[in-house]
Amino acid sequence: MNIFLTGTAIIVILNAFVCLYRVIKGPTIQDRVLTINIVGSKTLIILVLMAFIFKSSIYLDVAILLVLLNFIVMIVVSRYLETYGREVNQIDR
Amino acid sequence: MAERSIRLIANITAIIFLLIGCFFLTVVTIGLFRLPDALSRLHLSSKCDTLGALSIFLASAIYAGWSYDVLRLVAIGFLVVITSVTSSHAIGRSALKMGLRNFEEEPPLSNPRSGEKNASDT
Repeated sequence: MNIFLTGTAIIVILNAFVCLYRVIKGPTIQDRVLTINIVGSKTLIILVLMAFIFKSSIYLDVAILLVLLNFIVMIVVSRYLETYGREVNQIDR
Repeated sequence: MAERSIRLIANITAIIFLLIGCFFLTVVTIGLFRLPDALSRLHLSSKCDTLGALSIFLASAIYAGWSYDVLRLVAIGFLVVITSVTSSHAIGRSALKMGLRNFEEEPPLSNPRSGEKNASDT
């Protein structure tokens, strides 16, 4: 059973590294923000799997904090882009 | 004997849910490459990412059995269901405020079905 959890964690890590291509080559700034959100969600999944691979439930407490931190980052960035987005997009192009 | 067979059934169910979660997370990675626009990628991530994360949490909860870890996993799943959809909505609203257009609204360069040339071609 342990090997299945480890294999799932390895597949999720590979998916996260492949997703980083969209961060580098995203045409708009929303693509980069969205992909950072996806990579954060995969980090959360890896933390939950690590809690059962290493059999210590401290990782689950870290995972709860990671969800809230990811949410706050996304809300702050999108509120910033709503007000100052047009200037940022002109600099980006 | 009965306890061992229950343990075996729980492990097999957990493996099935792990495979479902891996499938949906791979769908997210493929869709990030294949889909044409930022708004359609948002639509992808808010659905498939939540579903893959929830199946992996469900597999972990089945594997753990009755303990306090299940309570923590339920809390994490509840937070993921709320926050992932809300942050996707916020990013989509910022895209709308910035004037990002959907890919279908852009005029095509030439219409391949009719065979006529557009005014922009000449």
